[in-house]
Amino acid sequence: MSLLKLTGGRVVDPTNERDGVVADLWIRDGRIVADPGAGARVDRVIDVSDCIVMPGGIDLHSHLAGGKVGLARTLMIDDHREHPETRTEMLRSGSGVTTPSTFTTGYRYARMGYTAAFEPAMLPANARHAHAELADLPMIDKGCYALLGNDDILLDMLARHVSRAQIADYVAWTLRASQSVAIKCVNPGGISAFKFNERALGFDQPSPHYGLTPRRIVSTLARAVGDLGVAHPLHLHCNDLGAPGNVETTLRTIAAVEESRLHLTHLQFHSYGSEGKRGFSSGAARIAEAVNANAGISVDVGQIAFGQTVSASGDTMIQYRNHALARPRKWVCMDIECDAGCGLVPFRYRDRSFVNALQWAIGLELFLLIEDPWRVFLTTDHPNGAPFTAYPHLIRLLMDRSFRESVLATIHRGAAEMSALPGLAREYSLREIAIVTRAGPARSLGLEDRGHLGVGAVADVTVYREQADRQAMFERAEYVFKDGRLVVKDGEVVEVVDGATHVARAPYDAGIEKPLRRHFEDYRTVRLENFVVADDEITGAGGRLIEHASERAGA
Amino acid sequence: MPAAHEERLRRNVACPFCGLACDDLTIVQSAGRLEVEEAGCWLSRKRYAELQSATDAPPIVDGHAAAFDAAVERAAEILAASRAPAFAVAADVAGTRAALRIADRLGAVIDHPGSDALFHNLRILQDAGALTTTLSEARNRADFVLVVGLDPVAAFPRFYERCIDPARTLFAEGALARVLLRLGPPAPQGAGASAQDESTAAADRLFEELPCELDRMPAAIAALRASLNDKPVATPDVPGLDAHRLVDLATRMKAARYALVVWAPAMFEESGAQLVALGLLEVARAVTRTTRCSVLALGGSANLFGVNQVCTWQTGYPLRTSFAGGSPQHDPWRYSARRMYADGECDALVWISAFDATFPVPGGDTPVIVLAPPHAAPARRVQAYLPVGIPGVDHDGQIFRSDGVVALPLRALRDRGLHDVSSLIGRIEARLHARGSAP
Repeated sequence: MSLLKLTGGRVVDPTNERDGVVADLWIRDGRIVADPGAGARVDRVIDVSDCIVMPGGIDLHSHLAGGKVGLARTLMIDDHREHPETRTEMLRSGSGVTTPSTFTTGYRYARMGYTAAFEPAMLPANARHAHAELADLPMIDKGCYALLGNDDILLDMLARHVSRAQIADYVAWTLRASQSVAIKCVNPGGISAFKFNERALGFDQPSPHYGLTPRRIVSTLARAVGDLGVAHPLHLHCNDLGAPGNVETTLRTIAAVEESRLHLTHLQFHSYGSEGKRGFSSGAARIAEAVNANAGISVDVGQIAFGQTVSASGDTMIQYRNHALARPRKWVCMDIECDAGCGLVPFRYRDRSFVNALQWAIGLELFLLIEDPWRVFLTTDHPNGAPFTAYPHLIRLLMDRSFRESVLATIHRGAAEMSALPGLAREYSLREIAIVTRAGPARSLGLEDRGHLGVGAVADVTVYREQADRQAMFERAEYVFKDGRLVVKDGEVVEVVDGATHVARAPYDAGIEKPLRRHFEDYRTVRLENFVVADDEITGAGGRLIEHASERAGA
Repeated sequence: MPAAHEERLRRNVACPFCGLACDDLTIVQSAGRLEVEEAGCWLSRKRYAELQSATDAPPIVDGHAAAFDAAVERAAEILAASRAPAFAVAADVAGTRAALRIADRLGAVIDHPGSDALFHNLRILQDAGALTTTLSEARNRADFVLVVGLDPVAAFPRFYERCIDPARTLFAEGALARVLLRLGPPAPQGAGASAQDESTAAADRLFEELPCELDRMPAAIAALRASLNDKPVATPDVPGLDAHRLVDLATRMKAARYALVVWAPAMFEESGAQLVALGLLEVARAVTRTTRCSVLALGGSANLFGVNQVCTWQTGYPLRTSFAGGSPQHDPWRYSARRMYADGECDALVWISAFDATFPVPGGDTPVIVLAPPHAAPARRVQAYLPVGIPGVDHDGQIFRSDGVVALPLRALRDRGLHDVSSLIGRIEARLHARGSAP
């Protein structure tokens, strides 16, 4: 029942159209409350003058947990040896930067002022694992996106031309069975095709065995997610990731779903032209133009940062293609459970490499050329472009043109010359940063009482001390409140809390379980009853479910 | 009384007793006995039967039956006095979490009592990577199956039934036609064959055999690699195995649509196993240049892979990790709990074997705290023994299967009032706290 007052801070709360106004913030019972008026007993007042007050950060695309992250940690053993984290009276020990251990991951997000992050590529067959792992990731709320579109159940349904309603039933059932908050599709049809030994799959090329084009898989899934009324649109990792000239595939994808909303993830990896003497160029301008023209498209960038990381992806077709680029030279490819797959390839992005330097520039071009900040979200596709701890550096690159140009001067000259970056004067404002790291992801995920500081919102609040060096400012939050509790002070964790798990619940015809049950018995090695992750498997490990119910269109 | 019978009949039960974790068992409980009514194997029938053969074992303090609280207190006392404790943990996910939590606080070493085989394969994953798959993919896609070494059916009784000989597969009319070969020592014949295993004999008939003793396997695999890479193949130093048969094997693997290489690392000696693991990875990489090929390593009994997964996500490292320095440090030789105990490098051993009696407490004089089900109570004198329930028999839980990807839910079949590992460690932590010792 205690009442907390944050006084004197400049509030940056784009959802409620507050842009740096000095205002007091009142917190009671884990929520933002209205000014209780004179006479209210205030239990604690914290002076946050000279500080910026924002909603807690929300990372809508970060590979946090599950089988591929475990494999990545196993491959990146040197990264763990080089970055130990010592236990304290309060905090658990851990290790790693590119794929940190779970407790360490939670603490680092909290120190940066984040209060939620979402695992964007959970195989339903691996869902129990992912949720069990996330139970050991403290400080932040979590959620997972279920992978569909390479699973043999859906591909078989599409090949048999089952009804639109049945597809939606299966998608809704998958959300429920895997305890997910959104649907992800990775290289539509491509992971399945690679299992049949196809090494590439064009957007309009029929896939082996099923004869399905990526176009049809994407448009059907995007429509099904829309039919179910799930807040976040289909979260799509397009075909042809990383391939020079893939800008054409990305543009075709945008055109293919004109009637549905669509989220294009780690767009940087899908914005490559094939011009120039090296056959590699920026397609960012064309992509940004298409995004600007299509209000139903949202994106996250998947910015790279220079240095060592590891790419962890469901996209076995592409990861196998890139395995020779592995640094250090080790890699994993795995076909998984008639569901999807995973591939791990360590990468060292070098600023003196033409390709890497241009990738870096392309990501920034997208940030600066896409006009509506509500449709672009700040990500590095952790850990694929860079670890999530690169966000403060990235924020400075976006907010500070002179800093950006000083870095640009150090990268491969050929790449810098081919980039549009030198001519881009735009600098992100604090309001825009708050949108791309908080308000926008919350709105896209349907988290109505998060990502803003209006009365009734969950009191996930971050206070940053105003600094000219935006990287330093965003690296260590002055205060972080999670559900109204003070969890970070002066950039250090002062209380360890467990976050909740967001799940989307869409209605489906329970009759779908009958053919699914038969499929599991005939073809799989797990029974349907054991495939489904029960609520008490999450709540029994100390977790809490936040359900987001939707209604079906035309139901 | 059909109604009463029905009440005690559980379908789709996941069996926690081998790395396949078959989850299609029907278990009947009658008169306090658990019986596999459908879909078990000789091993599961034996394991469930063991559970009623033993009388309940009391807690033990210093070799004598004691009250539960006294045994908890003794365990706390040993840990409070210890400067270098080691944990060997065969438990479900929740029990492993608790063990890691207390180990982190105590600066202990964390391991699994059956982890030797894990490191046969893991070192190669760390250093080189993997091309691998899971049971359902093997079942539906592998039109060419090469078993390397001893027949794994001895330890994984339903492997063929579930992954190689199913009645139906996804991409064929009926069942996929498969070529089955085994590169390994001759199978035991007639009376020498395992009498308890009905599936071994059936599977043996299907196999084309390429003779190779286990200690010659690295040489045979090297020759196979050479052939796959179109290099001249000298006759390998493998008695009974001609080079032309390996050339033929390479040709047929390349002609497969999806070649699967199956082996069980635990069936090899350590040094040979690492060479085999690396060799098979290189074989798979060579075949994958033109067609698909994956290696499936079978293992993971007593939730070995689950315990390793939890350790990996909490610390960043696999098992055999020490918290002694305040931050985790991993060394697959130095931090083997079994070796440390044998060599006197720990001053207390916490031996947790929650599933069955396959890990007897090692001999030695250093204090031991044992957490095991009553039927697996220590046969030798120990300083503290605390009975625990079995995941999937006495309490709910989660375990990981051999492929390390699929985790299965376990549900209690009965209630004998036993603690699970997680709650028991919580009790010990509470006593440590009350004593003013960490944690």
